[in-house]
Amino acid sequence: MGAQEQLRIDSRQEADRVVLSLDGELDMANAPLLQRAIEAPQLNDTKTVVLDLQGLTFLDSTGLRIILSAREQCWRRGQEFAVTPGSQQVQRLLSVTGVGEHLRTLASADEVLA
Amino acid sequence: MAASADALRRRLRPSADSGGVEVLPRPRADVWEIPFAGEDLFELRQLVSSWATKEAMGEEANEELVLAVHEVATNSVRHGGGVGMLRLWRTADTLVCEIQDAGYISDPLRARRAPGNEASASRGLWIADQICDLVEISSSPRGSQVRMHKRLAHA
Repeated sequence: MGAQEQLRIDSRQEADRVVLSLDGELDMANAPLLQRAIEAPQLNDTKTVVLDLQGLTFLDSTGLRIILSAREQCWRRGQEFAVTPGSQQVQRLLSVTGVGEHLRTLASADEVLA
Repeated sequence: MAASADALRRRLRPSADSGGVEVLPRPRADVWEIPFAGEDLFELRQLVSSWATKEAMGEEANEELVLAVHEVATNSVRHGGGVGMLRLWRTADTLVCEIQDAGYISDPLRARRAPGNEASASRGLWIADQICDLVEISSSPRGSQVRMHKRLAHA
């Protein structure tokens, strides 16, 4: 089974934001897919990047590291960065590592940032 | 997907002597072992999950055990020579997963220290230590064993 089949990333542009929806499992094997999605040129001019984690069923520390570096990259571009809550496993990892409380979290990808 | 998970399961075998690298005491239980490499991590998670389900572990504990094993196995792939051996057994009330590899954990107490929030922080061992009931680490320049204990039900 290839890394692509375990993780699917859809990118959609909405007004002043780009939403990247993650479906499947994010681990060491497919973390580069997310890295590439974050570096895509169409993200350069948006005001906000939202990582929609609602379809993410598994996240590990490597995936977490990519999410945090994606956030740093967005900040360097002067963009807002937010996530939506993932599965129980994803939320537990974010809570165990303490990273969750430092991530701006929207109830859903449609929520407007204040 | 099912085919490759089955391929991994076919490599499961009764554990015999491991060549003298072990320092932690051998368990008095039937032990199953399976060698793995980086391309096996997805199937390794499925294997541990279905074993824990068969042993009637609850869903949350199951997910935590799977994550702990995955994190330590990822360390084997990244720092421990690229491959490792997973061993599985159960005691009266606990499932135990042990990973052995050729890596050297020069600072085993790292598992007990919370990493920072920076993107580059290493979190694998610390996560395993947080979500298991006990993590034993034995490491020398000849290799490492990380033994993760997860109780089946909390009384």
